[in-house]
Amino acid sequence: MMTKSETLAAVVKLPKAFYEMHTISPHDLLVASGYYENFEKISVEDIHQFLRTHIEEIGYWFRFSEDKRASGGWLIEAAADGEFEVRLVRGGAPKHRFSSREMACAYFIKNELEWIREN
Amino acid sequence: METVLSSLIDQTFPSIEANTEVLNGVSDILIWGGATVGELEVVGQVGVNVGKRLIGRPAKAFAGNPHITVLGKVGEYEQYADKLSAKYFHIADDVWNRMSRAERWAANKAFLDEAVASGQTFELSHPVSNIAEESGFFRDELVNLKSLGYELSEDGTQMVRLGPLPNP
Repeated sequence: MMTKSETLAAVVKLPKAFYEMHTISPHDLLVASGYYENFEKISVEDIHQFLRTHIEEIGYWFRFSEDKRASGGWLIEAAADGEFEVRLVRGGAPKHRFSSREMACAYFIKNELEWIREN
Repeated sequence: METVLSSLIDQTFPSIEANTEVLNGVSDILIWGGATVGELEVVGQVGVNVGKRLIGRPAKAFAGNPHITVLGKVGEYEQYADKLSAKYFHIADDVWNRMSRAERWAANKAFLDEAVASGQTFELSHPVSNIAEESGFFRDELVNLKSLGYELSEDGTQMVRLGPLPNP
């Protein structure tokens, strides 16, 4: 069984693995990460702390978001005023705005992982 | 119909060893927004991956504008397509999450190729000044169209064909 720290590293690096490996799905990467066993232990703040020392992962998450061609889940985007927005792709939920790119990405990651896990 | 669907699924999901069959009335799983594949106009449901078993059903008639396809980035292109009653590429959530990058692009490209073959107009959900400055699948879509004889319109809101339709 994967430890919390192993799962945390694997899920934050999920889109990089997805784009580099070509032939494995996000669902399968999430299963391999141990997230299904550890999802309750992985918080937005855990992801935020990890991202602060692995900022190179953020760009992969932005691409992962913009490439989506499904109507569920979440998206992250830079707003015109320099802040960052995280919101559901469809639906009436309000936009969540962040001044910190890392915090916005952490919030997006946790919600997107949960969407993948539940789908 | 079954042959067309089987071919489409094999082309789109080469990594899945599919025992393919066509069943009417299966609930929506894989939504393929507005492509025409052979004699089959696919605007609704095509297939579902249940383990290694793929099930599909014929599409229903497309009620919107059959001549316009919208491209763009998530959060924009779906809304713009809805506004125009146009077609767009879209896959059901659970299927999308189980597709590799290669499978996603194969499906996306197949959709584009069919739209080109049927003479669609491509509207962009936001103006583009330079394709190279775009990113992700959206840039790949524009580059693919450019390779098929399309160019950005002067105002950057469309990809327009400069020459005749490519040979089938």
